[in-house]
Amino acid sequence: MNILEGEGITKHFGGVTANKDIHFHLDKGEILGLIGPNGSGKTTLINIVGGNIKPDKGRIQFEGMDIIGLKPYHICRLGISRTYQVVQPFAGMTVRETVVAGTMFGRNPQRSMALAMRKAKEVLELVHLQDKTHELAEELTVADLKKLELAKALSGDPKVLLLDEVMAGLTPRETDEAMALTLKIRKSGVTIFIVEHVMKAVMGISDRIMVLHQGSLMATGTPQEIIRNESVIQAYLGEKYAKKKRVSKEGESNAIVRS
Amino acid sequence: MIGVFVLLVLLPFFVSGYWVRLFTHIFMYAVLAESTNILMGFTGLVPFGNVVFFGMGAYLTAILMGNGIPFFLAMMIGAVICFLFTLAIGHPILKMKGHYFAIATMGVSEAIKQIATNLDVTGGGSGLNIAPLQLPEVQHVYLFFYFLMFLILILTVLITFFISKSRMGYALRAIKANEEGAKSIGINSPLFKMLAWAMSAFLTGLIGGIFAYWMTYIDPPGVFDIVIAVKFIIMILVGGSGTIMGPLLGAFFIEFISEIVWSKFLVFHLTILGGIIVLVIIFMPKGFIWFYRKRFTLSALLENVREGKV
Repeated sequence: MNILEGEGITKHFGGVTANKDIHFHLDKGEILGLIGPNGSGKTTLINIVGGNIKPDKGRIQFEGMDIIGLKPYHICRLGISRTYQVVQPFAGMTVRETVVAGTMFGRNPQRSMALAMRKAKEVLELVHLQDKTHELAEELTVADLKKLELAKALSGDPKVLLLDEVMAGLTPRETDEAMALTLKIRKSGVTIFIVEHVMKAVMGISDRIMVLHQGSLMATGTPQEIIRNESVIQAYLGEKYAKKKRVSKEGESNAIVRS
Repeated sequence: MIGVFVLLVLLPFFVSGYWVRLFTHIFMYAVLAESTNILMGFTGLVPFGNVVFFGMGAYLTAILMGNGIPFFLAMMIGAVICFLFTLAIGHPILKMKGHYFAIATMGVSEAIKQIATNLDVTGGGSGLNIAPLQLPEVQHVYLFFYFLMFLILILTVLITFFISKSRMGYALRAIKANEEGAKSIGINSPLFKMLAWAMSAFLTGLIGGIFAYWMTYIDPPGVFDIVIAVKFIIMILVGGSGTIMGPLLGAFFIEFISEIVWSKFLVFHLTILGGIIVLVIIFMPKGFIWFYRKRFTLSALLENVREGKV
């Protein structure tokens, strides 16, 4: 069953077409990876789903309900939470206060302080921030800020989680941790739409992957299909490399995975 | 805290009428500062035109009392109208940010002032007289306003305290830190900003009503005076924006010092007062409350220098 479905999404910024007639869907409980070179329109698509940007054309349905034109806070309450590529900490609030604020709103708002605190504690334990509860958000390290960003999104008890490059800037070890965490979140029943540049991560955890190129949808498929797709290889590594690949058919998949 | 409370309750019975009036003034400004702090301190929006609710409260109370409505009811109706008025104008104005918001509120304030100056029912530019409070002794009138202002002050502090601990308080602080991020965790930011502003308008309107009854005469330049708004914004900054005790300390400090400076240096008082405010802002940029939380030390001063605040 499709929990989220987009049809014909088009967005222009002046003369630039950031998203051109994109169709996509998310099955309930899956992890859908979204990849593409810089400037291919990935974040624009996430912003459109999250309600931050209104598309020029197209429809998005969440559980059969049209969500285009709804404000970000409406969308969050319906059950779509997101993280930002550039983290958005609440300066002046501690880690716990930030997450408590999240649990008080979102899909399943906790109206009593005690319940909000308990929910916040669970979320902080899930993302391994339980030791930093009283630190101010602006004083955290990059890795912890990313965790806080994730905790904020999870605190709203989402059905669909939009992750916009949560793993950028992490060390390999932290990336492994983040991958395990993403899988754990999926296991709890959350559908995940993840934008990621770290190929190892996105190939490793996604059930399906869609590739954007210059604003258009170039390919959709399982990770195995995607790394064999010639136009994808061409877009990522250039025409020359693709030709070379055609000659020596072996080991093509590994090359992409490693990049 | 309880000591201060007891002291303030007993104070008017031991001092002269002059001091009672001065403290009534301080309470008035403390409420204005604290109620504006609900918006300014929690969300970071600076409503320079908030004095409009003071004027509206004063005029509405005066007009309603002129039509035979008793004072307390008139005051409440005036404050509720201020609350509703904010909800009516809040949507477009709160879309603006920073300076634009400040200027827009000043625009509203000036517009309402012009309306008050040109209508018949407000007495136009010549103002309105309000039937004064009749009590056997003039001392009792002083006490009446002293305790009424004190009561509203306590009410305001309690309201601010409960807001700060509630869902709304969390929402407002998140909005202040990062409005985009706040929206993404489900916070309806336009609604919460509007409620915060309406709450501050309600309390400011109450005080306006009391002021009218206290002064027994109001005119547009007096109650729509932008200087009043600037004054309570300075009080918030001096005391500590976004805290509960800060605006109260600021109101007490500014009113008290300006009274002393004014009585000692008739000609130079603004220069001296300005100098004191500059010094406070330099050495305590987060306000007095900061003085309590973080000792007034050389390292604290250096931190300010490093952060470019001095």
